[in-house]
Amino acid sequence: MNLFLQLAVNGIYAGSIFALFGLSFALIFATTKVWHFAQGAVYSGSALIVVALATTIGLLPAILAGVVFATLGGLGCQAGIYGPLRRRGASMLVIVMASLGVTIVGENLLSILFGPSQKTLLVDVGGPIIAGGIVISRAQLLAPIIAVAVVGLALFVLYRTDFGRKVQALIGDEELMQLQGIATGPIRMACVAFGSAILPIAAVMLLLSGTGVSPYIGLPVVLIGAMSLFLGGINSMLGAAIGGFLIGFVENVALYFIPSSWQAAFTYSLFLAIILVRPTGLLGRRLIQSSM
Amino acid sequence: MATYIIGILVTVSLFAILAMSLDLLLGYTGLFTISHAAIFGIGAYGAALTMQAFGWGFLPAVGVALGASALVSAAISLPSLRVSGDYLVLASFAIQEVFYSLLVNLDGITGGSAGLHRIPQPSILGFTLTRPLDFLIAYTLIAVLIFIALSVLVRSPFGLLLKAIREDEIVPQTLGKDVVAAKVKIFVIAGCVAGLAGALYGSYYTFIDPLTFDVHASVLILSMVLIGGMGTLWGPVAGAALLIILPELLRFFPFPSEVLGNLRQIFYGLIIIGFCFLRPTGLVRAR
Repeated sequence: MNLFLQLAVNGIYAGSIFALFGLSFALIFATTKVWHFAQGAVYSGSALIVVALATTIGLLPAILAGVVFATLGGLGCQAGIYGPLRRRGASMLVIVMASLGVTIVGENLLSILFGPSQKTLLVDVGGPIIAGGIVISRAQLLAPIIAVAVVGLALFVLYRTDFGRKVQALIGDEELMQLQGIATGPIRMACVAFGSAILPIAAVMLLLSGTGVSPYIGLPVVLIGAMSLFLGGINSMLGAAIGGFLIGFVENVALYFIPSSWQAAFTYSLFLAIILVRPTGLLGRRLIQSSM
Repeated sequence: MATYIIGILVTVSLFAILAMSLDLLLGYTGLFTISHAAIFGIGAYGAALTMQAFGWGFLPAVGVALGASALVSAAISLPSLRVSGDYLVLASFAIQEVFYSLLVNLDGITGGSAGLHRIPQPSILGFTLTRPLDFLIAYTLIAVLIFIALSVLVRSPFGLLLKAIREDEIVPQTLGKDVVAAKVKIFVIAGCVAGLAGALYGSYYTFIDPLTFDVHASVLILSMVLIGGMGTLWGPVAGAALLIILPELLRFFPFPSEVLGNLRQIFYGLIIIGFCFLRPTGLVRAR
């Protein structure tokens, strides 16, 4: 029983982080319609910056630097690659390939700059809390609070502000907005910026528990983000966050039954089974038109 | 030096076969998958294990490899039958990761991260390929035969149906064409060809490991098709040649060896981005 509770605690922790992955992917995918694979390089780059700077300038300034890097990285991809390609009338396929190209360049630049090996964050945040035989680390305590705050903020902006209504309109029908003379570019950029900025925050939550980061760990993050979105229901930000949480929670609780080396295969297979039976996702209402 | 050049050309012929088979899905039918390296790997592991575990000859092993890769490829087609292209991207990505995880975790069968060693070289009718030049001649010949077979295929009524599906699925459907069957068929054919490339790969290098068949390998094959020109057969061949040979040239520049691998990858990434901007239709344009 204790083991099960411990796995549940670990699951809530991973789920909180995956919820941010899901929200990040969903915000960018819904507003740009681009499979932003380069998000993986943005993620590992910002995490590596946090690790490199934390010991010299302190953890909080290092996180800020990571957030700045991620935001600029995301905006750079949109403003420098996806946007111009779209204006040239490039097909979705070409834009996806360009994103994969950026990923390859990014990963390898990071490897030259930071070295190819795993790096861990060397910051002491205090020992774990032990309650009834269950170990809860500080990171595990912090992650759900941060996740609820970030997702809550995103949903508040999306559903309770004028700007949020514009974002919803952009996701729903961009052409209609443009016909009404609303510039959609800045709205999209804001969503890309926010979606990118939350990546290093998710990364820090993982790093605080001693998880390592290397230049090549980004693509699985994109995959988790994408799975969260499709599991939750396409174009639903809340759905993506819930989808991400479920993936993280289930994949940890499953360790009660399966060895940890099978975790990834289990998660992906379960996802494939669900998406075959229920392609609209858990909260989805209708299928979107294929964009590619 | 001659051995080095022959080695590169053999690799080009193998990747030309892979890129042509992916183009059947990507260029001709408009199905974007990111799992081609997994199919390639099924062929490689299927053939190698058949030869090593059962002591079968090369040809029966190739048969097993083709069957296995056709089957898995058909399984990948399942999401594309029900839902839109975005789901296929995601599902094939997940399948690619599941396959990689299986290769690493089933170490009793696949050798885990260490891979499989001492895979027998191809032996047909008592004649065994051993010298690099033998491989080059045989594999180039196979690539040419596949090229001819596929060019007949894409010009056939079935090939036209594939292109119609690419443009708009609804149109062939209203004409009473079985779009679902056509998609499954092309996945099976593409799977067979990629599986064959896998079997040939394993028997050439006599060693395979999971990293050869990971998601980055899938991206490499995708970029060959894109850079070469989708919806053509010359295109993938040109793309394979370009992306294998160009990064090799960096070897002759005096870069420090610890970053050479990274620089080669960066160069390859920049080629992809450059093509996306300057020539999104690829080297060879579809007519």
